Amino acid sequence: MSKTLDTPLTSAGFAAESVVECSAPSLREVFARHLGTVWRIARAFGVPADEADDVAQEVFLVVHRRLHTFQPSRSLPAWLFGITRNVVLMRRRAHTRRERRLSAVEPPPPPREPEASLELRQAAAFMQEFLDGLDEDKRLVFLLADIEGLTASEIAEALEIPLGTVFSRLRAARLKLEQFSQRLRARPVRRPHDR
Amino acid sequence: MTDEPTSSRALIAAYKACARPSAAAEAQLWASLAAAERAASPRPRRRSPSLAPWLAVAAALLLLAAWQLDLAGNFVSGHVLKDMREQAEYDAAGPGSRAATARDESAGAADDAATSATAGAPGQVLHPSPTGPRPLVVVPPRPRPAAPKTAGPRRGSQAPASEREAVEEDAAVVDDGDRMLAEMALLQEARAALRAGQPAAALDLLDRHAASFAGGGLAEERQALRVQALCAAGDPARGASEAAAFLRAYPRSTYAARVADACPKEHAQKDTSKIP
Repeated sequence: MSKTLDTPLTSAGFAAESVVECSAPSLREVFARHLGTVWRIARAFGVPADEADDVAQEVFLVVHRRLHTFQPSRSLPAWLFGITRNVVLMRRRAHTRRERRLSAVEPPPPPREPEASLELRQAAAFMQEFLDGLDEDKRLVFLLADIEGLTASEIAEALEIPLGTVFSRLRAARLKLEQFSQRLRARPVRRPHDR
Repeated sequence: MTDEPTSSRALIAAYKACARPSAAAEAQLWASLAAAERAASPRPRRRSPSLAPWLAVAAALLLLAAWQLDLAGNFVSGHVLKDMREQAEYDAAGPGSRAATARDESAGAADDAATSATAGAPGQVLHPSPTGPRPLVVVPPRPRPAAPKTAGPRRGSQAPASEREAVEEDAAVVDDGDRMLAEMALLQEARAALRAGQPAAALDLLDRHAASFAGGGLAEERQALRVQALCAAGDPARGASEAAAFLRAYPRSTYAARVADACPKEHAQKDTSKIP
């Protein structure tokens, strides 16, 4: 999973390499390597930050039970994406039952990454603001491509869309990010919403 | 990063670093996951492998005893493996020919019995409880009617019963707390079948899903998959009509674009959502 997609948008650059896991990973490995990805996918589906931990927990419970069905020849992130999407859909439909289970029982989680610098947190909040402003289709493609580093074919598999659609959505999202970034530079410094 | 926190690359890097569970939350998540793993780990060892080997051993012992008592011909063919009618025909063939062929047939029957016993007692498969270790595995790789391997043993007259069994099993395996996850898992199976190029199997699983979770919360997802499976199965007419029904019912669905693209002939517009 070392490849990224911040190369120019060319078909060769995108689809040439594909990452294939040779053997089924352990639950621990999946958790350690993909927890952040699952969390961010949940956020991209509109799950609030304070519920994304719950979603991640449910996703990895499903992973725990279904890992033996995972085919190593397939894309693990794409598989995780499918599970996360289903968990989010499930929660949308049954949110009254499970809503705020952890937060009702336990004190609010400690502030995230207190060790992160103010600048870093500010930049992350800007990015969240940008993502929130994208429509879901582009947001998901952008997240998977430029943040999670999936290949175009993995994204096409995860979202079940044609490769051409992946490219066009990504191109549009990148353009919007560039515009957003320019607006950021132009406007006076302000404190963004902290998530 | 500190110089220009507003560049695209810096924003992405910062987001990736910060947008994730906190270290404390991560530890808590792993702790609960590890607890679930520990709680679940004894179950598979206890349940799934226990019956089949014991049945195989019992069958082998019975055969061995019958063989040694020279009863193998009668016992095996008359009571265990062969149909009663075959036995009657065999008896009617006359004592001479029976004496001549008794040893051969009993040997063949013993071979048959041995293979069936060591193959995990195929008769047991008719009671599809076998399933796997995990309670969420609501869709064991049970052969469906189209599957060539078990088409023989499964008679046509048993199909409705087995279908009912499958539905009941789906409902039974799932306890209350896991119901939603099980519903989801069954859809995952259908999606996997679709991706594996088996739209008929996917449709079959989706039918089971509809029967097992008629009042479930994932009807939208199921119907979206169904449209895709119908189109992939070479039934674009039904696929298109179900796609239209889906889009009417769920006009703002996440799957709307995918459903609209499922049957390309009927839906020429490629992707209405790719607005620059």
